[in-house]
Amino acid sequence: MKKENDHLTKLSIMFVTMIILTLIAFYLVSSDWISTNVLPYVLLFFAVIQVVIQLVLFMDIKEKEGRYRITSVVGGGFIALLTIFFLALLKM
Amino acid sequence: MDSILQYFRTLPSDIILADISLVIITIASTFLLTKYKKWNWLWSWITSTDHKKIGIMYLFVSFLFFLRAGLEALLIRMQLAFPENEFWVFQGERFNQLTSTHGTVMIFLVATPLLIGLMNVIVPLQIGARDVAFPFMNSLSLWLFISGGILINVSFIAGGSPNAGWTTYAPLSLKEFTPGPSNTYYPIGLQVAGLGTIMGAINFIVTIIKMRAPGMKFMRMPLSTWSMLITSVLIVYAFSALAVALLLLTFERLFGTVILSSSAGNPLIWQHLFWIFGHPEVYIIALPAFGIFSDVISTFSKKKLFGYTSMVFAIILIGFLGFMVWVHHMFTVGLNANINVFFALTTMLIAIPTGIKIFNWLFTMRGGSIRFDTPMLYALGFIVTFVMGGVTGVMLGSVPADYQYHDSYFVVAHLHYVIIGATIFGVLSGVYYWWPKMFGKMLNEKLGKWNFWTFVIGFHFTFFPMHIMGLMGMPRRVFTYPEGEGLGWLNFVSTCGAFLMGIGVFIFMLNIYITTRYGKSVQLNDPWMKRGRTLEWTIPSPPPPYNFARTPIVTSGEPLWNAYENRKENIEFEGEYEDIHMPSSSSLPFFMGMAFLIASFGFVFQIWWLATLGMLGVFMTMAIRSFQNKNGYSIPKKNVIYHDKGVGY
Amino acid sequence: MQAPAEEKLFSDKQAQMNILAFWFLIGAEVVVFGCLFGIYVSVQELTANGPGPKELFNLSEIIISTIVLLSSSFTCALGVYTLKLGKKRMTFIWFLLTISLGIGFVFLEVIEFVAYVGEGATISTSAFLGAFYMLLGTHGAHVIFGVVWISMLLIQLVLFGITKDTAPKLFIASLYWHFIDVIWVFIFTVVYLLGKV
Repeated sequence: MKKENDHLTKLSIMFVTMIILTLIAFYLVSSDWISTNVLPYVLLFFAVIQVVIQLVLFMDIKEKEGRYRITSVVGGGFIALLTIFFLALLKM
Repeated sequence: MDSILQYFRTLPSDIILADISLVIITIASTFLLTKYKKWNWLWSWITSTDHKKIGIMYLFVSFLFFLRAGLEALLIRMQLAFPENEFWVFQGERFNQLTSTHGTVMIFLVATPLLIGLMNVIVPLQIGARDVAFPFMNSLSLWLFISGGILINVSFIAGGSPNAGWTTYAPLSLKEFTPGPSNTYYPIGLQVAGLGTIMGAINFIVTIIKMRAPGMKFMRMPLSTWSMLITSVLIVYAFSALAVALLLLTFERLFGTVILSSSAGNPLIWQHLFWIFGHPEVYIIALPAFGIFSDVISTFSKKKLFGYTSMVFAIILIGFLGFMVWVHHMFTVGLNANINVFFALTTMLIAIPTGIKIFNWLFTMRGGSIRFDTPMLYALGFIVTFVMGGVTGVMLGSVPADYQYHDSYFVVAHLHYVIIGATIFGVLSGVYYWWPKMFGKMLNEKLGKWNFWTFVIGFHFTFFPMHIMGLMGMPRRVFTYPEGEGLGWLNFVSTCGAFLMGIGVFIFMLNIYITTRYGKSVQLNDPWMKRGRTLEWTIPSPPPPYNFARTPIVTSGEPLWNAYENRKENIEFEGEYEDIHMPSSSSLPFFMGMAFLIASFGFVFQIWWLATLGMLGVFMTMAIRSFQNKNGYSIPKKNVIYHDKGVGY
Repeated sequence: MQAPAEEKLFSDKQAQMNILAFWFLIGAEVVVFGCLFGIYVSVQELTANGPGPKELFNLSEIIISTIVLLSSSFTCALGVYTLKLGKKRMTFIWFLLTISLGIGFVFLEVIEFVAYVGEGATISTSAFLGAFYMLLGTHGAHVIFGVVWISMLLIQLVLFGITKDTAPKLFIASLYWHFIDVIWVFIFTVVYLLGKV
């Protein structure tokens, strides 16, 4: 039973972390605390942390056959990034 | 009544002819099915979840599309046979429709599904599985493909075909420039078919990962299976990009967004998205063919495939690089020089793994005892043709030269050399090779050779002159060209070649007819003179519904061949005979496909109640499926034993 | 009552294949949304005469929908947790809460869109707005589909209980739900927050 409770605690902590990250991100945009050159990267970094939490903790990406799961998502992510990069270049 | 007659009077003669032939075909097939009491038989195929039957239906339907698009090719060649020619009605607008649908149908509804169909039959047999991982979804993929295919094909007689080229570049494809339903058919029809293709690909991936027989490690899988695994991964990603591109075009045409418009948006977005899909698509239709050739060459040379490991890694590398080269289709749109150079380099890099494969095939043949049966002939024809296509590909990959070749017949020649050279030759080779496995009869070898020589000679006569035409400056997608430019005789030769190819296809159909009608059953597990090497040749031809009565024992990459070397008739199977659980057939995929078809018509003609009705049908069938009790049926042990001992022993 | 162990519920080969297949579908969806983000990023500045992100978005409303969707992801995770313990009643409640929050999210989004259209920011006003509605609309459609899907599964849960059949289905639906949430995190960041920077 202890292990299960641990899991529950972990879920709750991570959920609170996600909410806090969201609120911090929100606050950072509303204030001028970080310069606008750096801010986008900070915000994207926050987003990536949240996504990793979701994938690893909520979606069990590392469980059985984790290598296929990770391959699938990372492969998709790679092509998505490639697409976004070259589409973003069209702005120039 | 008068208004209807008036309507028909305004139709061009080709559409009237198409209408009439459609009516005749419908009546004739209904009559024949009723006369021979075959409706139940037809229904049993439609609702089947057996991977072999689904594969065969894939092959059959895409072959019908192949005939249609091939007919279009002949019409195109007739129009272009002479300078300033005016053949029938195929000038200007009608010619654009011809070329657009020829390309669209050939790529999406012929090349891709032909290979998927063949692999559907073969992959489970090669890995020792009783079916694919998701038999229901397999059937659904088929019916989504058929609905999408019907939509694209029907456009010709209902409202006009897509006419902005098979690439359907914006802004030409936008409502502003091509009003009416024509170019709306394209995104919606392909969306439905593409959805089916993605499902099919996921099915292949999971089947290959999870359903391999014990002992069949990844590095023991036959090359056809390997190539289909990589292809499926490419499909999952590439067709998703296509789905977005098509969604975007649908939004542009139906819901009034202005993302692709040249004034308010950026038409290049379409080109990027299309080619992010489009270039991997080239490998999606080439890699399985490579796999087939690897198996065929090894079998007919009676030798182990040279450099198996390097072949596998070459496939993986080609698949990976395939996603990194798409801008070479867009060299001339004016992206900056650094981008062009980057993509030129990645393009040329692909020649390396491809070259490795070519040499491995040659070394496999070296010193082998080669039989020149039709599958092998096609494999040899492929090597010659594909090397030529590959070389022009590298030429096109160099940026400054591409500015000269771009949009000329040189490109047309190149793409037909690689696509026909790899995919169509590959499918024909595979069909001749596995026909006895699928139907239990050998295709006639004599007709096969006639088929090969007419088709291949016709092919080179059709497409080789196009290189020269392109270099002389003839642009693609034009319906005529002036006299006195020296293009006339080249085009005439090309047209003659096209008809020779047509004869080749006719001989192929004749071969199927004669074989089915008069051919003798082979009664052997391995009808290719005991040259079979892989698992599909260890079971009866045609295989029973459950493929393997008992689980095959795999201890090497070529289990059957090793058994032959040890002077055994067949490989060992393990375990006791038992009742075999089979997935039940289902009519839901068919109805879901039809619901998609109805919805698509609603979207194309913007009849919103029809679209809503269709989508409701789609969700209804999904809901029914979710609640369905998925119990299959059982084949009793005694039947399994009877069939296993009765056939092939 | 002995709770069915997690291993037993998901040990079925078909269940494992279904879960694996779903991960590849997620891979495909990553590309789908990646391309939609790509479109959005490339036309972000093409606002024509319409409003841009800075004028249009009201972040304090968005933060509410974000918290609603994040919470639904959390309740969904709790649902899976109780599912693995074999507690039918709690599973039902958590998943019901999940879809309620999902419906709440859709409701907030519809209000938001209606307000934008009221301000004259329609789908054909500018390329930016077109891409915005396409991205958000695709995501919203996913949420609606998820709500309908999970409702169906809840009916099955009530009818058949936690079985080898229903448990993997609910687990897969939960994967889907978390994935929608993942996409929202990026939408929140890229569209709303970065739009304000």
